[in-house]
Amino acid sequence: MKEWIDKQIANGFSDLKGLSITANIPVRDRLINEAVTEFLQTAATSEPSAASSDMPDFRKLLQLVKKAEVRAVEGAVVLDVVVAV
Amino acid sequence: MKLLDGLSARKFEDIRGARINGAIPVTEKALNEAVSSRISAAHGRIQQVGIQIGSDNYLEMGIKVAVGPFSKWFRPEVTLRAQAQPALIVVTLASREYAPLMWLVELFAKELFPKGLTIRDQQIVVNIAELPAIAEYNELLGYLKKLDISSGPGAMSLLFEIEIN
Repeated sequence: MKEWIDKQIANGFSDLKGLSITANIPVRDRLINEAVTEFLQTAATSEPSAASSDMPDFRKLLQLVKKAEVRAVEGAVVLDVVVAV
Repeated sequence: MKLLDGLSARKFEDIRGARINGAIPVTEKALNEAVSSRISAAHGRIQQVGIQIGSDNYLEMGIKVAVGPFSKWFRPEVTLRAQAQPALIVVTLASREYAPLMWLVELFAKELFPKGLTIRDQQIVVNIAELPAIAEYNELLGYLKKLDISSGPGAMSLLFEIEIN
């Protein structure tokens, strides 16, 4: 999957013209706290370049995000995201 | 990725209520590149493939296959259909007149999808949950509400709806 994503990034997402994804995701506080903990542990123990060697370059994928809104509800944060090419 | 593992292990409890829908385009070029790469890796009887995507989920599958000491092109037409639960892609020969070429479509499917394949009558059913490429997202398939394929000349789209409930 990483190889495929890397190829799409290198091609400027030309094979994905017409892609659209809409997501409404309530994220509970437990997951947010785990994400913060994981981020802090990774940041404290590794170089930024080494941390992403087996992962796609998410910064490039962020170019595809056309809308991102966040709102807090009790016990969760709701993400509204639209991705399109 | 510990985060995603935990999310999956807890059966997505932390994002209960999430709704995701979308359309993933697959162009003829991308499809042929992906299939050709699988075919050359398989080192089987199929030597070359040229797929044309038509309207209404029709595909013409140009398949060059080794027959004895020779190789020959066959061009069966198939239709594609997808369903969400269980997540399947169903490949059906487009017409009875192609029935003698069913062996070829079977061969193609077996070389491409060595796992998760069922063959019945004039249909080949691909069980998406058993495809190695999506093994890490397998848990999500249980939450698929809709899976559909729509095509026009030169491209098709995979339409999906996921609801974590």
